[in-house]
Amino acid sequence: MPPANGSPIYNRIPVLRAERGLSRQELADALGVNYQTIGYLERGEYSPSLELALQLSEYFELPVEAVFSLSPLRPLSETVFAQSRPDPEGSIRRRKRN
Amino acid sequence: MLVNRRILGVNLNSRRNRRWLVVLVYAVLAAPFIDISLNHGGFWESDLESYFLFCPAVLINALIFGKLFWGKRYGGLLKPFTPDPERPNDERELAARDSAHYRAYRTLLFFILLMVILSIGPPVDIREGLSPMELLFLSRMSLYGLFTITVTLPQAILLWREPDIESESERQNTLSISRELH
Repeated sequence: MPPANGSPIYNRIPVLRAERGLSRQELADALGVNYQTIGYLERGEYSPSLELALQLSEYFELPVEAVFSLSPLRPLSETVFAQSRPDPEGSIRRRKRN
Repeated sequence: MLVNRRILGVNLNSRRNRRWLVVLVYAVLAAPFIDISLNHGGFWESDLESYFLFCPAVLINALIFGKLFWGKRYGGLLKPFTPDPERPNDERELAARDSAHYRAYRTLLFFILLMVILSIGPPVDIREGLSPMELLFLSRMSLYGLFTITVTLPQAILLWREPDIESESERQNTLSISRELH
């Protein structure tokens, strides 16, 4: 069921599930939902309740904003790389100050 | 909401097949109405014939759609709508159930309004020309029609709208990413 206002909620469930080597059935069993619901969530055809969203983020041990977003999510690898890479402009500014 | 099921070798996990089943069911339910209207001049010859309108809706609803044997071995394509500890519906399934009932309610409202309009719409001379038996026939036909729609439509909407049930391989697929690639 997409939300009433029609705006989709994006998520990283397939990536997080794949990283952990979980099947839809296993994830569904852990959350107490039907395995088809996991498929709906992954395809963006259903927006979860706040309770289910929090359960999912708790299960993956990630903040809820790392799992769900109102705007399209960047690939996880890109996000992680951007965070670990030093900011080139910041380093130039620091060099100028010195 | 849906139960993995094959009927006479037909895989009803496929939405396409389920839609054909819904069409077939409504064709079967409509057939007695059409037959009585065309072949009996719009009248029942006996009360027995009214059971041909009443019983199929109850039986089909019980056996195929699942009102009586909700998802049990020998019948029912849907899980119970009411809370069932053995086969609970999760939040998405409950939302789909509620949405189907809302759509059915709106459809029923449309048919009731249509009947109200048809009952007051025709000119007085036509209405007064109807015999008490004809009026009884029309009233009963309308009631049976409404009954059929009321008892079957929420389930039919669910069977029509719910997408294909995933195959066992999709269900168990882990989409594993090798740890070395991290």
